[in-house]
Amino acid sequence: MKPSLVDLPLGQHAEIVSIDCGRRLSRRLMEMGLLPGTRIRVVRVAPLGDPIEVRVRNYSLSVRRAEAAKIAVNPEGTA
Amino acid sequence: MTHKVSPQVLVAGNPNCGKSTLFNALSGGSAHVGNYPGVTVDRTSARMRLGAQDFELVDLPGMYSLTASSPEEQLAVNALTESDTRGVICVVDSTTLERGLYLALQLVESGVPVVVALNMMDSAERMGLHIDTDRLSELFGTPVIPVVATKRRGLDALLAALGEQLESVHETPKLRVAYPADLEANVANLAPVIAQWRPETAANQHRVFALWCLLSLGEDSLRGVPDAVRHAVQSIHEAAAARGRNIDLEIISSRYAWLDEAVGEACFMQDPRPSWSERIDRVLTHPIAGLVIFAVVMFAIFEALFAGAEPLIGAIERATGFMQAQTAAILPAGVLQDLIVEGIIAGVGNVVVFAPQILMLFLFIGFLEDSGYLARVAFVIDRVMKAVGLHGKAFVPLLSGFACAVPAVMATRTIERRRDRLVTMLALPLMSCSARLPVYILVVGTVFAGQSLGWFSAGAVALFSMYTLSVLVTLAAAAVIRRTVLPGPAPTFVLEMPPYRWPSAQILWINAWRRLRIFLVDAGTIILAMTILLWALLSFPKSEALTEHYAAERARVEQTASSEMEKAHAIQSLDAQEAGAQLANSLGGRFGHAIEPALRPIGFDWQIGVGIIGAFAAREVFISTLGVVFGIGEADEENKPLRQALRDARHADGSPVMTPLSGISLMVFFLLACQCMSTIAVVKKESGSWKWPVFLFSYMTVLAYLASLAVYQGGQLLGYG
Repeated sequence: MKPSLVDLPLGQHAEIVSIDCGRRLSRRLMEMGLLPGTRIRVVRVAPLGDPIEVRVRNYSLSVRRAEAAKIAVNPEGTA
Repeated sequence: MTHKVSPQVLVAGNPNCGKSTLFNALSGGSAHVGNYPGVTVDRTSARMRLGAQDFELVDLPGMYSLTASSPEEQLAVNALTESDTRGVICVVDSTTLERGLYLALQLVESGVPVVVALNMMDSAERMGLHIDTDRLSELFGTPVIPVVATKRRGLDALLAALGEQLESVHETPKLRVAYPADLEANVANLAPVIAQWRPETAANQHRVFALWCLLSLGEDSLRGVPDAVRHAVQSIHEAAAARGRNIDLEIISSRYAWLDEAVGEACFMQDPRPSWSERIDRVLTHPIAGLVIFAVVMFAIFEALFAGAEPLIGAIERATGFMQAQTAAILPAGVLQDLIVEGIIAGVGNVVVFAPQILMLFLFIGFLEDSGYLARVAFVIDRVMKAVGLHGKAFVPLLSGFACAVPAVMATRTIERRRDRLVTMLALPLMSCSARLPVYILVVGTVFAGQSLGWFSAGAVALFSMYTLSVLVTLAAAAVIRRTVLPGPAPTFVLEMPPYRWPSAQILWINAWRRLRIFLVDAGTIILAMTILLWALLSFPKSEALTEHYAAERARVEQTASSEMEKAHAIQSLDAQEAGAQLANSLGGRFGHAIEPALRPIGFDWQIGVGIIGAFAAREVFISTLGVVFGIGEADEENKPLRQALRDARHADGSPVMTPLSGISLMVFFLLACQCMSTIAVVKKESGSWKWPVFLFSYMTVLAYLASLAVYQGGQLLGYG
């Protein structure tokens, strides 16, 4: 089981491996520049625990945990 | 529907890229707001002249790509392919270069003449980002102009480049993304199908369209796409998936690969500095401080709408009253005077009275949105909204519903997806708005005066319960509507958190004023018409017999009264009685009588029924209508004679009409019923069809009736009332 965005500790950089959020949302995320190989990190969790805010391509995006769980990542520093 | 007389230039760009600022800077704020045919999306445009060229500058909605799955998103593509489109200004936020250029790349690929405006160059430089615009321009094969829209920097160069583009000969774009061979084969297969669909477009356009179809079609609600194209696209997707390919990924990642290379060549980052936006966010979305600030900001909006707008609303109401009195004094008494005073002037007053709250709410929302905080509001509160199937951005409209549903419905525009917007606007009229308060106060003052429940006064408990109930019912209604009437995927929450920026006062004002103007013209017309209709319903037919009877009564008083004061008093009382009798005889009054059998089970009589009919103009009108029905004349919620009249009212069997139980039933009815034609009008305007306001009115009325029935009958079973 690949780790997903929700598994990343705050501030940990990672590389996106795959996005599997259904066609429409996956396409939207990809068009916003979240592609396999793109660097991403979680910068913040909302006060009530959901959604989370990620930093990618020099901008910030918030996504719900349910969606973030479907974005597989490869944390940097791991092989 | 699109009859344009002159060529158009489109302004496209991501949300939050400063597109509207640039549009306003270029057009000088002289914009015209209309509607795109078939969808409720504003079409903002302005006439421009560049050299010898006259054209219309059109501000497209913010978007991340040309890919479309809804009719709203399809707008941009339609506008692009319209024959009178001469060019596009693509606005790109320099601080998020690749994402903005992704749209620019698609535009250039489409073959339309493009000028790229690299906005916020100053912010990019402060971040330590250096951009070689000449190199980018070479790579894209189209002019790339650095601008700072807020400071009007680079506008001349932008217009000069645009002028050149408009005059130059249209060539095949130089930019060529290297798509995988498999994909190119798919595109080649699809092109002939596209050619049949759009025979008028050039051959190189078929390829562009094929790419667009491959990415856009499937799970979409696009209009006007032939089945042949859909089937072809579907079979290509299926065949590709069977071989482990993902067409969407192939197209998008090929484009980004091209972009990453281009950006790598033209830009370099010099010691990146943490932005102060990041630092602000540490406070504003902090688990504790964030929630406190959130509560303070929301309370400020609430307070402004509730209390801040009050003096202005009062002034408008007084001005309306003054106009009515003046007109009544000038015109001879009769139907014409009534029509003008009670129909037209009252109707215009009913429209204008919303202006202060609409302006205030939109100034607030504009400030929140342009500063970047609205996205944080959604971020902080989304968890709560998600539970009932709403989007985080639904919070501000819902909260505004406590003040007034009319501006609140208009505020749902900040929610991107139409389905999410509709759910919000269909639920929020259940929030207990300020117009319901006078009705509660009247009822509480009538049936609970001086009573207490333990430490609290019974009235306070009743009021508090109404507000709590309204929140619970609103959230429940949203959840139910989302699951039944507007089923579909739960709203996804993918929201850009733009950097904090200080909004421009001028743009805030322009936008709030535009909203108000659209309301006054579009919703205002409907409200005015309904006011006149309602006036007619409660005024006709006039009974000659009643008129004669009261004329005779007055003549008798004239002769028998012992003093002037007694005479004046008696005449005033007769006037009020006559108004009440005429109202009872009117169509509305007869209707109130006719529905009494239906009202008895919920504890009301025909007089309250007439009040409810009158209250459709606006809830607070309930009180003045009751004043007329009971023959008291002018009345407000603190009116002692009206309270007494209500207490004295008896059913045919001699039992009192207003008991604590029927009072609660009445408050519940007012809380839940859609007794507000202005809400109907604004929902019609914002949803773009009569279907939704009719649904809203029906479900709220049924809900109100059933709830009142449950309260009254249940209460009686338990031995109350």
